[in-house]
Amino acid sequence: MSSSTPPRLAHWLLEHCIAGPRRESLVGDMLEQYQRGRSATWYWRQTVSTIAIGFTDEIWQHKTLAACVTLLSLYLPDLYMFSKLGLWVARFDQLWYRPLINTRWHWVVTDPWAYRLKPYLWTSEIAWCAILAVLSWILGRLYPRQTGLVVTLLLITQVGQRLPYLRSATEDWIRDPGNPIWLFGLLWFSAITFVAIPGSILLAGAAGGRRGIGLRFWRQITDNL
Amino acid sequence: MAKREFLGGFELLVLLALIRVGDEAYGVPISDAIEESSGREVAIGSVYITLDRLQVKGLVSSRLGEPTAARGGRAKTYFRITAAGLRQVRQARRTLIRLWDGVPQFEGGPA
Repeated sequence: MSSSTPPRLAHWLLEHCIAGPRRESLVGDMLEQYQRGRSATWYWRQTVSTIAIGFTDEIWQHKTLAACVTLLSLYLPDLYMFSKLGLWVARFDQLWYRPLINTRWHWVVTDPWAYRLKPYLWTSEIAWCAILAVLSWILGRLYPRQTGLVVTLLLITQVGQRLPYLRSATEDWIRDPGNPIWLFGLLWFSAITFVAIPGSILLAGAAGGRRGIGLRFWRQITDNL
Repeated sequence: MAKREFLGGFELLVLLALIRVGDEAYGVPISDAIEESSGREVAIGSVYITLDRLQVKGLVSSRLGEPTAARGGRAKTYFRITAAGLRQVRQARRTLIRLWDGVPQFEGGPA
């Protein structure tokens, strides 16, 4: 026997992760079935399968766009490395990092314990999140009807590329669990991978998609690819 | 020879359920009809995606109903099979019967 309100998280996911003109009717059908006595497990199963089926169908309908976004996301680190942007970030790092040696904060650079936290990487992580946010916003604006698809693909490929780093951070921590530096490293990588990167992509993508007017000319070109 | 698209297995199931349910066919009774006859749970999402595809092919038409409180103020989308859809179902039936006939594994009752 189920209560009259469906599982909140499942219902939220259903309302926010399904695109297309039939969304209202589909959610209404699910609610009707639930009111007729279907279980919370059934509701969750239907939600997950509906989202997964909708996503794969969206990929199938926009194969070229999906392939382009995936490739762009996979090769984005290489583009970043070979562009001047990486150089500018490195120069910015030197601006604050080198003068630090002559201050009372010199231990951040000189102390071997603190050095292992790689503080010089922080700027590039922030810059990387900003690049992802800009890319996600642009894609959301260009493809307001497919924002969910492009943002999800960007998210999956970016988080997927971070997983090897997370794995090595976990291995370091397992090897020497008594040392808090490894735990900090693991928490740091986890925060970047599961909070900062997804947050930048999702928020910027949603903002771009909502405001998106779409550049008709650009869409005509890419739709005909 | 003219190129003709075959109906997929699930597309045929949805069209048959649509014919069975009749004028009041929307997501819930369609998926119920498929579940009852197949004995398997059906994802409502897959029913809608199939109906959308069939509508693009011109085999199904749809209209929006009135929103109801029981559905959280959400309207039903009613579906109806078109004449082209009926022709495709009849064609699929003929093809299946022809293929079925004379298959030794299916003769003399269930295996």
